[in-house]
Amino acid sequence: MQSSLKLLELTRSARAGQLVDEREFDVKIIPSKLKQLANEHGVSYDPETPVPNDRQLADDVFEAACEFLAEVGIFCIDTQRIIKFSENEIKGAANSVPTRVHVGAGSDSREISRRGIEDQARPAVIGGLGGGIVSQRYYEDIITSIAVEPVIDAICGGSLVEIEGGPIIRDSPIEMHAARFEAICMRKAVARANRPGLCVLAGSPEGAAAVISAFDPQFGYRKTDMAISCLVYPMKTTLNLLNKTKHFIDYGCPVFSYADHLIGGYTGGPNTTAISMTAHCLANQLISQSSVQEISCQDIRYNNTSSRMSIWDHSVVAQALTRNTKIVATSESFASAGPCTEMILYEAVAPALAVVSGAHAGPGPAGCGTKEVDRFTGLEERLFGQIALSLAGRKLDFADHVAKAILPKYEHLFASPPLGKRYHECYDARTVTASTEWSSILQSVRRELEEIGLQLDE
Amino acid sequence: MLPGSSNLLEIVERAKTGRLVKESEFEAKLLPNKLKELATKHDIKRDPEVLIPSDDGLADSVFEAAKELLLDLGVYCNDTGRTVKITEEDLKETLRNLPESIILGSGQERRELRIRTVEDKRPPAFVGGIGGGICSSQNYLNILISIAMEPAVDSICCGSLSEIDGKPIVGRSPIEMHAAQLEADWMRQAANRAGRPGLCLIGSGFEWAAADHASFNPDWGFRSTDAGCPCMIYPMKIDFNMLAKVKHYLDHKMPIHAYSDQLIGGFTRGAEENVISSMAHHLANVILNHATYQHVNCQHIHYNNTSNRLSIWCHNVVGQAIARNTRIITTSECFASAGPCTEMILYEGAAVALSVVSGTGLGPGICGRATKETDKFTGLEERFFAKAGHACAGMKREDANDIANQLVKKYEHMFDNPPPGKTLNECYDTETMKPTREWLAIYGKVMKDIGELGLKL
Repeated sequence: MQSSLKLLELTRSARAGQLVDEREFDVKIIPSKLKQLANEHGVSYDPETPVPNDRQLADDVFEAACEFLAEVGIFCIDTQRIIKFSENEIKGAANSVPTRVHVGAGSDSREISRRGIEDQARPAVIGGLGGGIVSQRYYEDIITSIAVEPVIDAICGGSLVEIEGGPIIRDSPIEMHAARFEAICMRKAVARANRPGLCVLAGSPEGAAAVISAFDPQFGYRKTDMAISCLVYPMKTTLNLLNKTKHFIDYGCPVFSYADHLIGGYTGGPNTTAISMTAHCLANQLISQSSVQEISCQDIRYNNTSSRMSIWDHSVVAQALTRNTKIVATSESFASAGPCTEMILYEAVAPALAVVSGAHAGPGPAGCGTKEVDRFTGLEERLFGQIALSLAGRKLDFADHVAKAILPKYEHLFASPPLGKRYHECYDARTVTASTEWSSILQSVRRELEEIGLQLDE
Repeated sequence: MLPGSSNLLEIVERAKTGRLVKESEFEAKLLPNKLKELATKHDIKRDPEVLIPSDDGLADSVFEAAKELLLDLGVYCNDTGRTVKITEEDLKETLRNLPESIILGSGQERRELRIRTVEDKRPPAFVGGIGGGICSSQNYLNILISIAMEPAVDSICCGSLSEIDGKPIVGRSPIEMHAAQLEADWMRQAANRAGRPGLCLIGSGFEWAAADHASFNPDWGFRSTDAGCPCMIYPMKIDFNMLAKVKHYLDHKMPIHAYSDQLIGGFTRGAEENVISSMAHHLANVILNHATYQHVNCQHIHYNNTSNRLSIWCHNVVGQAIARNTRIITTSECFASAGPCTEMILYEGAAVALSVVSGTGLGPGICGRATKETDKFTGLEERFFAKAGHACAGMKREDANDIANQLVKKYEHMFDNPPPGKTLNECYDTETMKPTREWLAIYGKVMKDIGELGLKL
């Protein structure tokens, strides 16, 4: 049961907890504890098996994650203190989650339910930009191109790089203006796509005041949308984040949480990052009272989730959560390549493989590691959705086979991936259709994927 | 400047590109020096024998000096350390576009507030409430009910919660959001319990924009027919957080009750300079905070009251400067040194109410103990304040001056040690929401005294 009063308790805990130096927390406490737990629980990474079929590994990751969260806690940046949770609280929260959430309205209403490993149930497909950077000029067009794809069940926004020709200044009327613009834009886009009730993921701006000002059923975010909350990597939160979460719960929105991880960052390699990612999902359940959570383990060098290590992490974390909690999880897709390239489409397969491990799909694919303006279109999202649907009911060994077949097609290009084209360079914005070039690339990759064994519907 | 909330974006741009000045230099050197220079240049002088001047030339000089202050100095932005330049065109355009009346509240409680003239015969509008005074979470609702029950109250101003459930309110945290939501809920409940569901509420009392936004909810909190409550930060300052609040009010089409409390003896120097500063803050409030109505508050820095001789002079001079030169709607705020259930708080209230003759409305107030003591607020002093203000409608300034001179003598010797009075619980029956016999008897006695002084209540 969601309750915004819990946020008051968390705030008090954040003021009363143990005082710790932030740098020590990031560079000593977190890495050393993760390393110790990976050793103790025998959690190791095997690059030869991108999608492991190892129940024990999943359970070990879960146990290590519980221990990790209970021992380390969550660091509050504002107070420089630790919010502690007991192992009972952690496991209790993870298993008292509603196993389904209803989002969207009217004919765009969707139920997103907890999935099992090798589940035959259709996964939800969350499209969108995953916070990728966009211009004010093309924001609505890009979101429209994604919303028109029937396979999309909900849609995530991006991050405006500027507003009215100037920078977005935090905690000022300009940030409020940008937040309201974004909400209006998302709503207009789904209406243009003739899907007015489609669930949009709301609340990506930084400041709580700006986020709150965009929640308005008349022009902006509604109770049938999902509100975005997160933890700061690694294992941190802020009062500003707690404020946003309080508003979401008061408003009555389901909460969509994330905690993007960097493989090679503070949380170490893929084995320790899997423990950390799982722990972040458990913490998000306690703090953000999430309805849906995103798994995102990016390679620190490339900011993608299509690498061998990311596939392994997403699969292992999804299995750990599926086997040990009621958390509803989804696998985010960040690609190194941009739209209108073969590579982004092959990369889209990688995170979708976590569907077999019990996850839903998305947000994404977000091209160019989300770091290039306007490099997002509906077409890569269409294929991503179709791949995700085709994986329902497939075996873990099949997913592993697909991973091994697609990785050689692109992993050698990570250091210098093709950036592809911007939205307006490969789409006709008036008709919201992909260019002939982009459509033919899609057809060619589809054929390749079908040869690997994926059965894609039109 | 651009219209509506777009203008705020332009203000932020100006705040980013304006002149870089150290905050301490702005408030401790530039502003006081400029005020001193303008008071001399425009020959603004206070006659200690006159509390309520009848000098139109003085009022007009104050207005001219205030314009010069604002145009020369601009407004300081705390976030950027720069001044926001205000142009003559901004000022002219804003003043030209001010309406003659505004609408507050809804249904039976819908009120039209009109501009007033000096010695206006029409009854003044009355903004009741606590003026940001400190309240406990235990008694906040009852205090508000006692005020909302007074029929003379046209809109009601929030207080400041000192705690929530006995625990501190942590700034910019979910606890502050929670407190702001509770406050809005209580204000709405108070209006409902008083049988006045559409009464215009002025809030929130919380400084932080996100908490303010979170308390806007037509079902249980603030609505578009309530008034937002931004301010100019003393002296002549603004920040992005305040502008973000204003944007929220404009986006929700709310009227805006703005304020800018001045300290006589503070950065803005003596009474002569404070009238210029208060007038300039009013002008800045309409340009930057889009104020639809405002209140005058010039407090004595030692006593934090507005009932002393200097404050009475300031409120009347500023009221006349505004009424003669603009269409700004303003009221005269009453901070009293004494607390409820004392004679002194009522005499103090009557003295402040006299500024109605200078073209102001009334309120917020009377706020006892200069707003600084928890729960020292009741509806009865507000009833008295309204009656005193109404009795001043149509009165000549000379007559008001005579009454003021007699009133201040009744209490000014007690400023160093004013009677603390009682909390709402101690002088009201909170079941029936009626004042105790003791408090009613004091009220009756002072009513009689005031009548003998010439204020026919």
